[in-house]
Amino acid sequence: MKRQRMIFGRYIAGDSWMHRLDPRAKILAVPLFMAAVFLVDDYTKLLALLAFTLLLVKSTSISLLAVARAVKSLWLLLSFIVLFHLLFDSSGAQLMQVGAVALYTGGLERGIVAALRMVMFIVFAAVLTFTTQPDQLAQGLGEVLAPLRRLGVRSDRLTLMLGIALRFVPTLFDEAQRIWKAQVSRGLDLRSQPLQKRARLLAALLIPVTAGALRRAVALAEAMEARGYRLDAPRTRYRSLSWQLRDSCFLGLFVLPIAAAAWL
Amino acid sequence: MSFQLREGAMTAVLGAPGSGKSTLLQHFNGLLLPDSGNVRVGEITLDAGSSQAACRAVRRRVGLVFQYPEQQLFEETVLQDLCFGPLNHGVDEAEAEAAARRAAQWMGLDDSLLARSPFRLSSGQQRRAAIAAVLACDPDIIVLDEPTASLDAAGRCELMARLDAMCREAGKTVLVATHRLEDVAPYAEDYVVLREGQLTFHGAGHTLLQHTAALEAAGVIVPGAIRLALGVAELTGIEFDRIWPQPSELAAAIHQAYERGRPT
Repeated sequence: MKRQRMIFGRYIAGDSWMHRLDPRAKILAVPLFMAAVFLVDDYTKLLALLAFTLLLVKSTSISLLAVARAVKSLWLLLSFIVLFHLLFDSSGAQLMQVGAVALYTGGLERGIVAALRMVMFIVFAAVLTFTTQPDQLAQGLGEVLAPLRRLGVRSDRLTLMLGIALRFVPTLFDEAQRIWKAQVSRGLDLRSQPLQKRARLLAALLIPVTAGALRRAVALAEAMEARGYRLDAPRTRYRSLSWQLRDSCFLGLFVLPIAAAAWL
Repeated sequence: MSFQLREGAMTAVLGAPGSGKSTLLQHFNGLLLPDSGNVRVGEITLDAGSSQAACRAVRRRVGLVFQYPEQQLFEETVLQDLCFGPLNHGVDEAEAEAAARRAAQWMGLDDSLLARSPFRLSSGQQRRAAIAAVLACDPDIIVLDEPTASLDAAGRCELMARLDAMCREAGKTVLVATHRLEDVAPYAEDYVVLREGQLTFHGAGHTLLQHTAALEAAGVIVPGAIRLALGVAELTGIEFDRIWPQPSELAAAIHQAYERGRPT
């Protein structure tokens, strides 16, 4: 039977405290969370921060399995991070020699730390998109970036692009999956193909997906114009955001790990 | 649900959007495996534990045409796209090209179109090319998901007539999923009606006429021509052996009833 794949940008309806937060609070929490993650440089603090992140997930109605799937979908990037450190960092004791390449403990440790940092980013970003509707996220970002308009930054254009991108990421994934299935049903079996042909076939998959995305983009732009949309026109919002005490408390939560990471 | 396809005939799967037609169709091709029960195609049985090899074997026998198949074309030329399936199934290039040309001929695609980019064909030609791409694999069973979607009336009639010819002249078994009874009624011999993932009817066309309530409950609109035939049958007592009687048959029945009832 069909199983829905969990990916970024897919909102999961729910009524947890995280769902109810002002999107601006969640967006402002991102740099704070990043600061905490970058301040951490050893296993103990890293594990403590990971526990804090997982606790955040657990306190929402999102299942850990959904978050794990989001992390799993980026396993290639995580493997690359570990491998990169392993191959190019020669600090610490030599671990082993593979042909002409020597691997060191320092490289392995830094690779794992960097990968764990990335895992935390992915988990946090996943929870953010799982608990915030794409239009709310875009609206929140627009309002966070609004002061930059004085410096000439067209924040409304950025948020429009982000809003549309977030809305269409799951659609494009679904379309790619449908096209992939169509090729598989015509006998495509990547495992039996040499690496070069595999790459060519995967690139071929991108052609109909890209063509579909362009078709959709044109149709969307025309539909928006037909309904009177003009860039830079003054407009009101369907939902107006209001900052509550819980949003301040949520941001306060992130000061805690930063302080812990900085001083412990 | 349990039903068997009649060999060499066209079967229609009717149901409203979201009734499970596409999910059912993907089981015939091994793209989805049943959680329980099995799907038997000739001597091959697919169940929850079936191997990829078994699925591949089924895909050689069953060609699946997804909805909007023209959006899945990707090769540089129509001919290359048509050869993609046969080559995946291990056929040599000359044989694949011959199969591609045969399939193009079946679908009424002129030879001169084969050297063109699929993206330069008209939308009707793209649809026919995409179906030909599946036919080129020479499957015994052809499964099509809403093949007439977004085609005009003439295009729908032409496509259905071609599929009918495939049953009658090439002995193929054709399964068409649709929510438009009027598209399949002139050609389909057997009918499967789905409602919310459950089979509510399976049988020949003339028995479907006694189950119009099942059709309406499944969200399938009974076309005016069929309702007229039902009305004539009820008033005159003349039974039609087909779900879609010819206008001349209906006229003759009405005339006969009129003559019978006319005062002498």
